[in-house]
Amino acid sequence: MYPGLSLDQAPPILVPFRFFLTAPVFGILASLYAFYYGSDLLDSRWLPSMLALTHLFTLGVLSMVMLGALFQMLPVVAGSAVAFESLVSIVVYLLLTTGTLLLALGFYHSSSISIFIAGITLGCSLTLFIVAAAHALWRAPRSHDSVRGMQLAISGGLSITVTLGLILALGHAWDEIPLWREQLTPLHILWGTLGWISLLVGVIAYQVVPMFQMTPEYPSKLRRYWAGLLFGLLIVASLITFSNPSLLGITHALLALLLVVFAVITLRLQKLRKRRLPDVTLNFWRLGMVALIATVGVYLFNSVWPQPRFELLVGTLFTLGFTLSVINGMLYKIVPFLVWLHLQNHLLATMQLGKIRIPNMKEIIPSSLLKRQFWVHLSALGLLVPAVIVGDPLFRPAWGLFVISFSLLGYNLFFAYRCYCHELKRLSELA
Amino acid sequence: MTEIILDVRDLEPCEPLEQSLTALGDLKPGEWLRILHRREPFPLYDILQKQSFCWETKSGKNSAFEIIIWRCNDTIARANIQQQTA
Repeated sequence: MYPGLSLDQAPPILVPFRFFLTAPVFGILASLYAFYYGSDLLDSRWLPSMLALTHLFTLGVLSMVMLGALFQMLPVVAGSAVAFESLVSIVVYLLLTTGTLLLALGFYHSSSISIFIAGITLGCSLTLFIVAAAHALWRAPRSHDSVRGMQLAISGGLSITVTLGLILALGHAWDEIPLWREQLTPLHILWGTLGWISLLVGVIAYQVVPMFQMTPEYPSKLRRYWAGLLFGLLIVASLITFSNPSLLGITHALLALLLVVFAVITLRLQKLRKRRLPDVTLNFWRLGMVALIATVGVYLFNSVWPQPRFELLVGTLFTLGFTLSVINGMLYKIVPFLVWLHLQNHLLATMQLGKIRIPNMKEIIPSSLLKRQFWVHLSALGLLVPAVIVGDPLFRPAWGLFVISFSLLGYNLFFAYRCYCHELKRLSELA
Repeated sequence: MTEIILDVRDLEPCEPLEQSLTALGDLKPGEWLRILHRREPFPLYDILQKQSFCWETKSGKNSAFEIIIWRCNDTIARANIQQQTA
């Protein structure tokens, strides 16, 4: 018998969908907030109002999707599901949703008690997830590059980000606890963006890019060493932050190089794909990779010739240009595949396999819907990038477009979920 | 002795699995299926096991994976596969 995806092991469809359908709601909320607040947000990245916006995106949108996808992908990629996944996933989900809202409110109102409760709530949610996912990965029957990379991203990157975030939250909440903002905030950002988000996107890309985009496999040396090098450099960067900060520039440059290598190889593989049919999800990925290269370029430029607001530009390009685009592209492959797989599983369980036709992936979310959202997302990003520098005339229109983009994303994902419910009802009636 | 060859190397998910299931449904006594695949199709194995099919996976000459599938109770197909691989 071969170790691998068991259809029986796939979690109930609502487990990942709960996270996927909530992320666009947070996206709309964050975009409306930025639209309402206006370009005053750009005054400093330290403004509590900016911290509220940042965490609405990183926790409410990006981590929300990543956690939901991991509940689904652990059995698929590692052959091992989270124990008690329905219960664990709902507790993680409720605490993450509540904690993110409380944290944003806490920053917005500068409320120590709210930040404190948010810190505890998010800490419980993410710790539960880390323990559950680490346990599933530990007993996984398969151990390949993606599994090892996921272990690093979850047990390493996410754990360290959460720990640093908790210390910072407690520092915000209580005057007695020193707020080591200058040392810990850059590390919290570094581990969150690279040790959690980039590392996980990279190792998941090893699987999903060749599988869904019909590209050649990633080079074996990259698969074997990229995640470990990234993680090792983050450890070095963390240690020298306290011991020898003058060397930070070199480690940051090496980290930047690793990100560019990943982006360039991904773009190269996509150019070599076997089936050259138009694919909107490929556009999302390409946009994400170009944004990642631009993030690194702006970061390096700003390190040598510091410019006003360029730090904010780096954050914008990374969060909304790279991560959001890639997550969007990934969702549009994962969600239809998930719906199709669950319907297939139902056919198998009811002995209807081969007797009844179910919609294929392209019918579950029509590409016209994907195209429409891609163009709105691209336009929003195209307006926001200059808006970060020039401010007012472009800032509100850009966020207005993001409100539309997230609404379309939510509609498209709900469209897929509705398709699943309709099909399931039809199959039950035919059985 | 009839071998049905199905080349799904250039198909996007979920088409390889769909086409494989259709081809399996059409298998007649004595026939077996050889699937040429670029990736190892783990979801297919689960279905095969539940539908009483037997299979063997190996590296192919022209594809990364070749999966040979026959009905477990089809002794003629099994004998023909053994004869072909001998």
